[in-house]
Amino acid sequence: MTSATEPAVELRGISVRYRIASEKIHSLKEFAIRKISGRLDHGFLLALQDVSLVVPSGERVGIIGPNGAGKSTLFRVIARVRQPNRGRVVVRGQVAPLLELGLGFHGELTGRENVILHGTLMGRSRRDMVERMDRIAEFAELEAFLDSPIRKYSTGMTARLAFAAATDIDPDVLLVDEALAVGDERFRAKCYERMDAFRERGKTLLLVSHRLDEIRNTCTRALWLSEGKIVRDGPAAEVVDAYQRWARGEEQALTPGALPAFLPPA
Amino acid sequence: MEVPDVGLALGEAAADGREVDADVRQLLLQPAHLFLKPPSPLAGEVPFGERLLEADLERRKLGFEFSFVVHARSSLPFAGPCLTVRRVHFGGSMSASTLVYDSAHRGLRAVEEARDLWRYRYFVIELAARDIKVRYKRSALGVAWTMLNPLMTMLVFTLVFSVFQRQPIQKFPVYFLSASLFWTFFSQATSNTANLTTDVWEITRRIYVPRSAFVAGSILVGLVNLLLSLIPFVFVVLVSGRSFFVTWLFLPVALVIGTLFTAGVGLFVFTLASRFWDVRDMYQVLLTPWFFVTPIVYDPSIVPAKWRWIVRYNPMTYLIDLFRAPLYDGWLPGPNTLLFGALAAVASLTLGWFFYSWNIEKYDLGN
Repeated sequence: MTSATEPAVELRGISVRYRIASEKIHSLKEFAIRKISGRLDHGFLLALQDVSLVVPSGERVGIIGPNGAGKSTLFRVIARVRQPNRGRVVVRGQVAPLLELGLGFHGELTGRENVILHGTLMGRSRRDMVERMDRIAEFAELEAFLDSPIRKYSTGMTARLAFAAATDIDPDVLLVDEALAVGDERFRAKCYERMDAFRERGKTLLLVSHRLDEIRNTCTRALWLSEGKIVRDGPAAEVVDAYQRWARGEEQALTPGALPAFLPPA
Repeated sequence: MEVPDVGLALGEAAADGREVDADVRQLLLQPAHLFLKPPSPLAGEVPFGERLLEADLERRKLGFEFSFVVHARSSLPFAGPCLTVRRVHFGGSMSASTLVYDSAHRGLRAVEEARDLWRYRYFVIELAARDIKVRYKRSALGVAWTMLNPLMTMLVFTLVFSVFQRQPIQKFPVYFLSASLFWTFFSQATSNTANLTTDVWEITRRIYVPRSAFVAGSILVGLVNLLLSLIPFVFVVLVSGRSFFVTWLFLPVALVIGTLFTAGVGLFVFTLASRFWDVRDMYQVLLTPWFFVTPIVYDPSIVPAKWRWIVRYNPMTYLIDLFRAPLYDGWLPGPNTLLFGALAAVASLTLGWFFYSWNIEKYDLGN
C-alpha cells in the first residue's frame, strides 16, 4: 500500500523492442563468424513505443486493444520480467502477477510442497507459506488431498490450488490476465469474491481482458493500446465505448496516433 | 544481552503514536540483518548489509493497519547512493514489507544482483529440495544410484589402470574416489546449469526471479549428492583397508573452496548458455579433456616434463588435491595447494558473478 503522493506504478517513456526471432543468432559459432565478418544487424519489432503511464495507488485500470497491441509486454515490464529498452519503470509495493497460475508446480510433489515452492518463487519465505497453508487448503477445498502428489489431482483441483496459492497474498499491485477464474460455477464465484475483496481493500489493479463488460464493471479507468502506443486513456466506460465503436468500424479515423494519447500529469 | 525487537518496537511506537525509544534508535545504526530476527515482521526484508536509516517517517492509520516507511541505506561498498524504501505494516494481516522496483540501475549491478539473490534465498532452498525429492521419489533406486555411479566408474578405472599403469598407485580405488568426489560434483553441477536454461526461461518470461537462484539451486543439489557419495567412499576405504585420518576434518574447508570455484564456473556457463544454445555441447566437449589433464586417475609424476606445465597451470589440480591430501594421503594440503586453490575459487566466483550480472539481462533468450 502506498501513500497518495507516490503512484503505485510509474512508466516514463517506455520502449520495448524484440529481436525478430528468425534473425536471432542462437549459436556461439555463428555469432563469432558474423561478428568477425561484421554482419551483426538485426530486425526489430517495437512492442511498446514511448509509453508513459501513472497509476495512483488504489486505481483499477483495464487494458484493452487488439491482439499484438502490446498489452502483455506492458504487463511484463511492470512485473519486471522484461527490462525496457528505453525509459524507466517504478513500481512501489509487492506486485502479484496473476498471469500464469501454478508456475513451478511439479506433479511428483504434494500439494503442500507445491504451494511452498510456488510461494518462495513469488519471493515469500517458507515460514510465511506454512502459516498460510491452512487457509489456502480451505479456500481450494483440498484439505484432504494436501499431502498427495498433484499428478493425482484433476485439472480442476490443480487449478483451484494454484488460484488459492496465488491469491492468498497481500499484494499492493495486482496484475490480472483475463480468464483467471477457474473451476466450476461455484468456485468461479468464489474467485470473483476474492477479486472483489482486493478491490475493497484498495489494492491497485491492472486487468487485461477482451471481455469489455468486465472492464466496464471492475475498472475505474481504461487504456486502449494499439501498435505499442496508448491510443486512449480515460474513464473506463468512455474508453470502452470508443473502442467498441472503433471495432464496429464506426470510428474509422481513430487509428493509432491520430488522437493524442492522454497522459496524466507527471 | 536481550536485544529489543526493532520491528515490534517500531510497530508499537507507530500504533501508539509516540517516538521510537532511544535504545532502538541506537540499534538502527548497525547493519540490519544483525538485529532483525524472526518473528520480527521486518526480518528478512532488509537486504544483507543494509542499514535502517530512518523509520517512523510516516504513519498512517488504514483501518486496522498501521504503516510506516523504513529507509535503508546499503552499508556495502560500491552500492552507490541506493536508498531502499520499504513500507511495513502492522496489525491487520501483518503483511510483509515491500520494496520498490526501479528499472533504473543505481549502484553496481553485481551488488544489485547479489541483493536480489539474497531476497530469493528461500526459493533457492525449495528449488533444490524439489530437485532432490523428485529425483529420489521417481525411482526407488534413486539414492542407491547416486552411490553406485561413482563405484562403477571407480571399478572401470581400477581395472583399466591395474593393467596399464606400470607403477601401480597404492589403494587406487581410494586414490581415485578421493579426487573424483569433487570432479563429479564440479562437472555435474556446472553442466547442469547449462541444461537449466530452457526451464529457467520458461519461468523468468512469466515472473521475476533472479536467474542466479537457479544456478545456486543447482550447486546445492550437487552438494547434497557429493555428501551422499561420501557413503560409498567410506565403504571403499573400509573394504580396501586404507585408514581414516584426522585430516578428514579438513573436508569442510575443501568443500567451501570447491563450491565457490564451481559456482563461478557455473554462473559463467549458465550465462553463456542462456544466449547461445551450442554452449552446453561445447562445454561437454571441454569437460572430457579437462578431466584427463587433471591428475585424477594418474599420479602427476608420470606426466613427461615437457607437459608438466599443463598440470601446473590447471586450477583443478589444486582443487582436487584439497580433497585428496586429507582424504587419501592423510596430510593437510600444502600452502601452495591451499593458496592456488583459494585464489582460483575467488577469481572464478568474482569473474563469474560479474559476467553474470553484466550480461544476463541482455543474454536471456526471451529478449
